[in-house]
Amino acid sequence: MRIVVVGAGEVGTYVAQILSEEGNTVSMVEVDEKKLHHISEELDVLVVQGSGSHPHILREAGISKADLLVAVTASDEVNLLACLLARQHGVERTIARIQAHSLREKNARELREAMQVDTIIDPDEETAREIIDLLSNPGATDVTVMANGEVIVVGVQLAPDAPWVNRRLAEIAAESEPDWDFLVAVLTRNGETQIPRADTTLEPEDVLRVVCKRRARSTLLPLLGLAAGTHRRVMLLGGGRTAEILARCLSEQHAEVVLIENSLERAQALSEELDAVLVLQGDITDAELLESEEVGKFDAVIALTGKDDANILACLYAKSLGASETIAVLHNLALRTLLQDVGIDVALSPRTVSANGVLRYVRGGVTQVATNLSGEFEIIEAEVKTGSSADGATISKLGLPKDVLIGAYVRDGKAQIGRGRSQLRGRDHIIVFARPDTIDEMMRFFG
Amino acid sequence: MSDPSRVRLRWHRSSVRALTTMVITATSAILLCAVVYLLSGEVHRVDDALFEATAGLTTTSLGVLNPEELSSWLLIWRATTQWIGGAGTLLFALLVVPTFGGHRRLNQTAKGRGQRAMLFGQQSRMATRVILIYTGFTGAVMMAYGLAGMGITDAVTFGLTTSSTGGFANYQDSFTHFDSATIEWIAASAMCLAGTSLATLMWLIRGQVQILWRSSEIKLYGLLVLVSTMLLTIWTWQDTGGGLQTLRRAFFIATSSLSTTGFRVADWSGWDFAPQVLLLMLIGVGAMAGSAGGGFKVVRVIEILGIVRRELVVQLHPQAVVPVKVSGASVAEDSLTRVQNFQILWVLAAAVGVFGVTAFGEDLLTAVSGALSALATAGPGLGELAGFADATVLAAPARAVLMVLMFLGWLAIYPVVVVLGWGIGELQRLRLR
Repeated sequence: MRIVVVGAGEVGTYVAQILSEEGNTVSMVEVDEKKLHHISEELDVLVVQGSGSHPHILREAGISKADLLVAVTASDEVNLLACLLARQHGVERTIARIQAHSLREKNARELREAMQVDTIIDPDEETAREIIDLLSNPGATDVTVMANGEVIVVGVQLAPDAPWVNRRLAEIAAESEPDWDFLVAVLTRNGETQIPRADTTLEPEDVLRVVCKRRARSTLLPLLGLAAGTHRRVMLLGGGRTAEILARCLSEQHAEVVLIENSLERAQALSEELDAVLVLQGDITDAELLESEEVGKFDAVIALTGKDDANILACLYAKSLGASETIAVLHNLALRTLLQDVGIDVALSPRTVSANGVLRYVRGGVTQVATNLSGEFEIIEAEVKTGSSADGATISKLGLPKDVLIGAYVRDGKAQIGRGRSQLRGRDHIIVFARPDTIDEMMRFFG
Repeated sequence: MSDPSRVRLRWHRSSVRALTTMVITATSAILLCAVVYLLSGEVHRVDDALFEATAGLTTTSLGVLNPEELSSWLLIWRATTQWIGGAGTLLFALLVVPTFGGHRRLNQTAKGRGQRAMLFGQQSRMATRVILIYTGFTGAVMMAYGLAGMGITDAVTFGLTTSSTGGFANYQDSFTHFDSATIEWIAASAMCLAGTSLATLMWLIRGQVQILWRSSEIKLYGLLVLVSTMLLTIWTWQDTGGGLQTLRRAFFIATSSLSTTGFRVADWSGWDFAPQVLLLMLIGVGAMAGSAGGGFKVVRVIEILGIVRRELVVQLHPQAVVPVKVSGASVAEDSLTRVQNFQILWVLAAAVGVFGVTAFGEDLLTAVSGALSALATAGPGLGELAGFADATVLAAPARAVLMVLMFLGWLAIYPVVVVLGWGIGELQRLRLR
């Protein structure tokens, strides 16, 4: 596939990286020369310097042969215009990042249709949604909701006192016969991620990704050593767009929300916008402020400024004062493993979240895609096409490539855990774990 | 945030001119009305004429004349002064308040999240439209009274004094004279509407009730009417005979007080003190901004409560950023300063007024209620002023004090203070020269 990515910001770069690693031909358009220089050294992509709203720049980037345009600059206008230009060159699919709420509402549909945008993504909103999912599964490192919520993939670091520690997976599976409610799909130990075998024994500090039916969530969490609970008091550090969306969403759920924002002007705007939220003006790394606001007494503290160091520092401090869950939004993934070691429960990256949004539309027949933070495995939701080789086949006899696991399938809106003896049918939705390089090979089985 | 010590006291010359014009116009209007009373031959004392003119134009229902001794023509003239006074209040808000940056007040209920519709359109057309709606409302009230069985003179005069929140009645026993439940219901409902704002009436006429729900002022106003009606019903159950009559009278008294109209329908001098004080509190709160009514105004109460709430939150969270909101939109800091100043002036005027009235021999209850009621341009009071009493129970100098208070209340104090301050400054400059 030939793909043009406009905008080499955080989201664009990450999308380009993933797409090029999967063997697509990617070209990038960016105004900032410095950024481009950096990218051309790091990634295997064609770079073009200039604005994505200029026809000749897009032509230079190979728009006339492209199959997909991903416009993810910080400017809504440039993104929309790039989509329109791409269509004029016969590009089949266009994806635009649009941040202005008013442009995403129903009454702006005419504009979007005129600009011929297929899909709209908003990293901030998707990050907010991801955090909401995390909050409803306290203690989880990541949560992916698939198949309209019928299936949840919970990422968790096994606590030393969790019931599952020092037990073999086969034992755990035997206990949940005859009808499995969950399945350990992927295991990360010592930085290595793989699909575990039945004789694997779980150890403390193992990071698991467990596929789980929706209704079984409350039984699963205690087994992993997590307490199921609700967040009644939430502190948001940083007042960006993600925080605003999150604050509104949380206060609608009747949580008590306190938000700290450094810029007075922004704080005033937020306090006017958000009715039930207490907005404080101050630096999120100001220990005195955090202490006087009793940050330790909050159920969840979420740091979502644009600065990783500030986010980490604030979370560490909140943790040391006793906050039960801290979530730091990270932009640099290299810090992630470090964070889990020092006790910050969860790290999220807005670019991963939004890249998932893009990848969902890059893959044909795939309805949803999630990459793990480390990028080693992807979780894909796809439909089994009627008449494909998987239609009517038993999973164990399908001959899937190594390192591919069918975690669950959803038939007529009902989720079942994928087992060797399960038989697939056309129009089933499957939740598959696979390495990015085997995805194309795997997808052939399902049409 | 604006520094409260930097209160702006330097007035633009043009706004001083506008305010001076306003104060002079108001004063001459009162003098003119007084002259009409004297020329009619039915009023003989100058101080009576002046008091009646002041009470009329300021839409206060505290007269000194016995209406039952006046001719129909003079009754209509007396009611007309109140109607003109009400129009004056509306136009002051429209034409002079903009110089205080308070332009949005009249348009307030039109303001929703993300949309700022200008209800009355351009400012040049606003004056005409406001008077048109006001006249239409007055006509409607007259019609209703007529249909309910009032005579033509009564329908016209009561229509004029109801829609203007004036409260002058043609009979010493005010509304009890008619002894008609229908008329009392009509009067109470009309007073309730007159105490809202013209903008509210406009939205009601357009049938856009959902817009009204966004206004926190109308919500509080409605709540005050509801709660005080309920409380008064309970407290006066035995006094007014119980049943629907009590409910009706309670509603009547509540709206008459809150809208600062001042029609009477019962003598409350025999009541417990609690309902009497409630009545006085309603008079103090007053009508909504953008109405012809007086009082402290509901929106200012909301703003003051917002400031108090903010101070409490800031005590607990020193770095909190808390906006003071009215109808979902935050109020600018300089408007808040102005509201606080107004509150200080209002309390000060009331306090000096109480002192003034007691200084001329009146008792405390009469003085407190009379001063507050006059400042709110309502009329009814407690003590000697309770029930159907008029201002003749007061000594002449005490009446003069109330006249000043009514005048201040009518013009919302500020203009008078500004003009006085400016005038004193000019005088000093002249003397230096």
